[in-house]
Amino acid sequence: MTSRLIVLLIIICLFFIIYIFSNIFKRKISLQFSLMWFTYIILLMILLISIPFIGEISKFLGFEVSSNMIFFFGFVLLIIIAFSLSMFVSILQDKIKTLTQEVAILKKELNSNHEDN
Amino acid sequence: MKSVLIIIPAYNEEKSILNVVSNIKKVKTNNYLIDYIIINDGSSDNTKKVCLDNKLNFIDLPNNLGIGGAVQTGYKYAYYKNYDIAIQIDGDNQHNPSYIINLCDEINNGYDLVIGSRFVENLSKFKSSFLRRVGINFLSNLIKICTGVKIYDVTSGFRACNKDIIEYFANNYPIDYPEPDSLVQVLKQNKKVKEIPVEMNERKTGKSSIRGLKSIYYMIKVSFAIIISNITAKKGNR
Repeated sequence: MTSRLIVLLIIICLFFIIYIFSNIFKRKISLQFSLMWFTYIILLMILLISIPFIGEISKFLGFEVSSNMIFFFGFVLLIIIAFSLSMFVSILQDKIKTLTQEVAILKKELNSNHEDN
Repeated sequence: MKSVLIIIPAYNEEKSILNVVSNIKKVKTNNYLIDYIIINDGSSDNTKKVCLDNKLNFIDLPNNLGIGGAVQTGYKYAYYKNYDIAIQIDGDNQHNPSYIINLCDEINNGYDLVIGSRFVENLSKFKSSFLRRVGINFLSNLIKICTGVKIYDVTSGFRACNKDIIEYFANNYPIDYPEPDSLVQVLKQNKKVKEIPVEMNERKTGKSSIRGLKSIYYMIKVSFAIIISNITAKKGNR
């Protein structure tokens, strides 16, 4: 893996960190979710920086080129994040369902009280 | 005298909903106090207006939740209002409300859940397509394998249940395609379920929601849901 590619990837990571921060300041992403992405990027950057030293490890694990190991771990971590997001959406879906039902029943009670008075 | 709530989920049923309610009002009985509630599941047509204009008793869901979410709203309402029996019936006139009394009588006889069935005896003029019968038969057998109980019309949306099941359904009910899945959950609790023959009409308005590619998705989803319910319920009992 050439040092030029490593520098390019690190610059992309830095830009992403700035982007996340700007969104935290605008309150467009919650701290909980931004931490998930920070962890992702920091892990990726650690891997990138340590590339010159882990050539042997990546060979031992069976990667022919060490850059492939970076992309492989990046891919696995992304799948974990995507799945956890599906879980969050499912929980939210269930909460919205319950809220919708309770609001509708309350609305009905309110209306019938008006009619009684 | 037992109080009965009839739950009518309605999604875009402006043409049939009035008819369903007037048919329910025609049911005469001295043994039960029968109320009905329409659950308007965020319809995009004039269902809400029809309900308002005719002063029907209805709950208006602010979002479209799907059939399961709508029916569950009815069960929650029945639970909060302390009804003895809840009956769900389709909003499209498929089910003949005169059988409500038969369903209630079986609940009175000690059954927990009573299903109005198309297949126990052939009363129905209702003709399912061949593929649909194959599908229902498959689900019926799957439920037999999972629970040991043979129910023929596992997808019937015409069902009555007692207080225990009302409470259970108010808290646990699948969102879409709920009938077979919820049936397994009830059977797994060793509740007494009975199937009685009812007459079903051909759909007068609207089409079945399950057609074409959707039916393949339906079969996979429901089979998966049955197996999952089967496993999780087992854990709950031990």
